[in-house]
Amino acid sequence: MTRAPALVILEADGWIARQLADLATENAWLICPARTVDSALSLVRERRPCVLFVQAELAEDSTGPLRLIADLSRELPDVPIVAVSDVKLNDADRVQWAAALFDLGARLALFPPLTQPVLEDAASGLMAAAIRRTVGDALIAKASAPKPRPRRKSAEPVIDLADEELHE
Amino acid sequence: MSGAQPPITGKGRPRGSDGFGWRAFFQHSRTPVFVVGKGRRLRFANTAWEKLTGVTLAEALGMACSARRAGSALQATLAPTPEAMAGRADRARRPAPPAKNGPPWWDITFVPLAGESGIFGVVGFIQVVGEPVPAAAKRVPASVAELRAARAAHFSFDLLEGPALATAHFVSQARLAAQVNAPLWLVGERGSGKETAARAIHHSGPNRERAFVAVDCAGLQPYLIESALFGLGGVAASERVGTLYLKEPTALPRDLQQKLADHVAEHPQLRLACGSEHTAAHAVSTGALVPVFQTALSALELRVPPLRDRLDDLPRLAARVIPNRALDSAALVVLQAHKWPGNLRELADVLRDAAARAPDGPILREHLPLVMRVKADAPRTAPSKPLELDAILEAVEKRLIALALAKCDQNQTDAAALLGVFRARLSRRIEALGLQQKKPEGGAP
Repeated sequence: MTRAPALVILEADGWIARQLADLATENAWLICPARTVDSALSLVRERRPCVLFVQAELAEDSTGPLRLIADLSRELPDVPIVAVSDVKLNDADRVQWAAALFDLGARLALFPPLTQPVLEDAASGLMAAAIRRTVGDALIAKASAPKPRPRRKSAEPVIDLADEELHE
Repeated sequence: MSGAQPPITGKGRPRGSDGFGWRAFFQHSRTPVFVVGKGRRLRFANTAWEKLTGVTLAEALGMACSARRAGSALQATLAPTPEAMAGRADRARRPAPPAKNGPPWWDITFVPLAGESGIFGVVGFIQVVGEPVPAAAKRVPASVAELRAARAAHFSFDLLEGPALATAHFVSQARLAAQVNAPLWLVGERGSGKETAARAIHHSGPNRERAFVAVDCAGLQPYLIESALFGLGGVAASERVGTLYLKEPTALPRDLQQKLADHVAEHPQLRLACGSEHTAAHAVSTGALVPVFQTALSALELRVPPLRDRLDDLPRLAARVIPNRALDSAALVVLQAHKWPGNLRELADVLRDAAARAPDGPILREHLPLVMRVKADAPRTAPSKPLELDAILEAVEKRLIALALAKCDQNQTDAAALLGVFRARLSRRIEALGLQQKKPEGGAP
């Protein structure tokens, strides 16, 4: 049985969770806020369709979220990760960081201006794909389960072309 | 730096070469060329190399070309790849030293020199690519570069290797794909590891120092994909991106497919890799894909084998999914009996569940799902009986002749007429088949 889908959000201030709360309520998804990398990891490892939002602090001294993206995409490649930065960058820096985040395993890198529709579209699309993967696998596994063998009738007549006429 | 050419000595002439000096041969080349010995020590570099590096050959001779921490950036840049040291020509893109990031990059082609007793040296040819970017734009910290390096080390061909024949075949194809920059189309069932394979090819290919950007075409709205790739600060046109991987590109609208195709045609340094359950030809024939994906953008088509075709890899794959956990032989038998329709994804789920059920010790048979154990216990279908045509025909003939004789009261003439054959033939067949003819009920035969 598949458990309820969850949006796991690693952030400091709860802003992303607030933006996605309506979407989660509409679809009966869980919102699992995480304050530390370890708690985010343990939430994502639970077997359920899941999308991880990571508030990525693009700074030299804070590589925790980036390490989480790299480690998680390696360990659980089916969990889509959205990296969200609230730092305004110029075009060149933005390209550099976006390329680095994609390279580390993020499925999408979002930069300001961040709007609720964009976050919701990213969450709904990736969650739909995650559910398809999970439910699809379950269906495939069910289809491959051993089927009951057809029961053979005990008094099944044996067709013999010649017998009847032989004994006429 | 020395601008003058060094005198050609007899050392540059191989025995019996009748005056041919290989050093002079390379000195005239505008391409920076260098030679390292078996022990990765620099043995030769031409004038173009001296000009590029700003180091004279006399200073650099004997320098160890390896990526050891204590070494300089130049030493790390010139280090031959493991592929080259294993005897296969290889190409690597590295940041021009002393910078840790490109552009500019050095595309170094390593050509191994193999003798009877193995590799005795490697020749390197350097090509400079890309323009330097302003320092202000180089804000990605060194820590990210370290994460990248760890990731690149993880996604090597070792990750794909396995004892199964299907795997060996696929890995050799993937190694070839890593040698070139041609567009790649990976075909494989769901969960068979297409994206992982694409990453491994990227990290072993000429674009390895640049980013691998994977786009889930079915999971993201087209406007988000277009914005991430072509919008303000989009990554598609960036020199930073080496491989653009499209997961199920058939899910993209056709106008965006065409835009991507046009973009790849205009940016030959960018490698396009696509992963799909179907071939490009099939997707084009069903109208799900614009034709250019079949003609120009699937030059290399690799088929990722499903897990059921590489069951010999199971112990190795299990060790990767649940490291430090042993797999009991009875459990392995159960895993090998399963058909794995969900491929590696299903295997990972099953093994992680089993590991959760048994926090300590090896994974035993009873930790695996019941349905798999039942299936493994089910007796295999008995081999079908051989269909021996002669024996069957003989039996049928016997029955028909006996039937005809019975109907005709053992009269062979009438029985022959009934069977549509001459009497003589019927007699011969009765004798050959060893039929015991009964006496007629009414008297003589």
